[in-house]
Amino acid sequence: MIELRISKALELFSLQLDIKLSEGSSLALVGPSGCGKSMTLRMIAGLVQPDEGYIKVGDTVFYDSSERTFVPAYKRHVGFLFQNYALFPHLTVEQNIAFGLNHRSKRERQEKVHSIIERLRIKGLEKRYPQYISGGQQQRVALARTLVTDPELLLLDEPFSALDSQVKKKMEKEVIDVRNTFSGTMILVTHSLEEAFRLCSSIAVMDNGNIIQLGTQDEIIHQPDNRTVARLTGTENIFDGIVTERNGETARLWVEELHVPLTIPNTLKQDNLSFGIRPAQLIVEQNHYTRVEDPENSFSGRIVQTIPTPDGQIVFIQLARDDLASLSNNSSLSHRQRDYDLQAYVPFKYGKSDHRLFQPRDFCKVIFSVSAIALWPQDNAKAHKPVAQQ
Amino acid sequence: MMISELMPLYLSLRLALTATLFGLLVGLPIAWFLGHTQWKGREVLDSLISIPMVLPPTVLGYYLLVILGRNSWIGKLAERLGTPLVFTARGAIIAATVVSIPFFIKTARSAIEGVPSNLLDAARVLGRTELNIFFNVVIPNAWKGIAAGLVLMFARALGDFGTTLMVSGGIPGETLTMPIAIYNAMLAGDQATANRLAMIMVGTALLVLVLINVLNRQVGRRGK
Repeated sequence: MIELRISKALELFSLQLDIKLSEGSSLALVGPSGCGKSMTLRMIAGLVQPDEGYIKVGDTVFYDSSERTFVPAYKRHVGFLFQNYALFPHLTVEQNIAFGLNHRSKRERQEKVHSIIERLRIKGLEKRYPQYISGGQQQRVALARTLVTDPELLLLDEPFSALDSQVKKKMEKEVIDVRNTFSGTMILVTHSLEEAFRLCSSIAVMDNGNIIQLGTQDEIIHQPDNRTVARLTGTENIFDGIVTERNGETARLWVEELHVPLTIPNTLKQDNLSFGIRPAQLIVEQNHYTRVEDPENSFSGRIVQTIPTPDGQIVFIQLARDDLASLSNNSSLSHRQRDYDLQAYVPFKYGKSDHRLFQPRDFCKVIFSVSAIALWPQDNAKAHKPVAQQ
Repeated sequence: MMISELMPLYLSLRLALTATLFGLLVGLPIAWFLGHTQWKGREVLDSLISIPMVLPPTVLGYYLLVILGRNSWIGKLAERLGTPLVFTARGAIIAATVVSIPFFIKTARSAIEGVPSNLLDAARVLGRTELNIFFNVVIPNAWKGIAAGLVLMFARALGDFGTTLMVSGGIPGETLTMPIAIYNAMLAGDQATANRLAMIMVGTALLVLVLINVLNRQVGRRGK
């Protein structure tokens, strides 16, 4: 069990965290750079002292401001993988790996170093200096140097940011292998949601020093709690709406910005809702291809622009307004910051008869499947009647 | 060349070496402290240490005389212990150390600050204490800068004239160093001796400069 309750005043904001982690779990702290995620790791490792709070790992209290307990970094026995590996340039690969084992007997040290060198495939590099091996190799040496000390808690600070994408994929697999054999707890800090998604079972999204949502991979992606999380996790289509009607499982939402009524799951009791839908979950069809029965939330629109990707294309769509008057009326258009309503990702249907690329100006049909719509109450900061509270 | 002419060279070298050794022992902890502390007064301390670099040597000598002289409590204490400071080789060593130590501390501080902080963090999480880190991470990665600082300090101590003369006079066989000997020779109109002594100093100085350059180039190469 790892308990974290810390606060620290930083230059631009104050960091405030309260996390509990079970033994053997893996957590990713995701957020934009400067949101305080690296600082959090440094506080857990004892490299930075919090202003106030409590840090407990396993049975050991590392920090308790009420008892004035502060265990210094060198006594915490926490594994830390640094962003640029921080290998000692004056020591060989072998000496680097053995650096954390100076309290063990010589024989034990040799055995441990030898076995980790085998395990992480560093063999043949033992006598080299870190400056003269590749980035991926440096990364493995840094990982070996940390793992050889058998830490209960492993902290990874943006471990892949300095690697090119080819090596990155390989190293990610390596870390997953390590995680699977590693019995301890792992905390990963990254700005890449994809990385967090691939490596950790739970994800905490941070912004301005606070955790704005903590959940499983699936919850973070498909049930964002608010607009910031939705944005960060790649939900490109986000709109506000007002519930006009509720009947059992579903409700009707009027979306002023799109000028359409939408059928949504009737899960939230608030009337002012925001919703989001991921580009890959919007279904876009060629207009000539019509279904036998029109499904719910099906609207016609027009392709504004397309961007090709290796396995599909990103299309930008403008919905056809019901009343053409408002479309021709320039005043409603001029308030908008962009020339499209929706962004969708259309994967190629290889080998299918209807495989055809969208072109700008094509007509199309957009379907919001009800189960793919993520809902959350509208942000308080944007509440419609702020005066009423005073 | 007479033996007595080599005596000032010997005294100068001995004085400079002793001062440099003291500088290393006193200056390195100070440089480490200055390089790593978050203490707000560190730049004030750094400026205080650097004062000898900008003060005229005679002014520095004057103040050292006041501090170490027979009327000060330090001077009185030293006298009672039977080791008077002014006009002795001990006084000369103190003077040369004070004059030259800023060169060492400044260079060593920047070398120590040049060691990436994540190396220190890595050593900390791997279980090393600060003292252990100083010897096993800081020194191995900063030693060339530290060595360059020592050479600079040695050169400055070797060439000191004003402060040493003020504090320790020019007692032949004890505190009559090369620069003072050259001055005395010129004063006595013995230009031949002055010339020989000066040539010896130029040779020594050149040697020191070559050493600094070699070290500096290696420091530069490491940085790449």
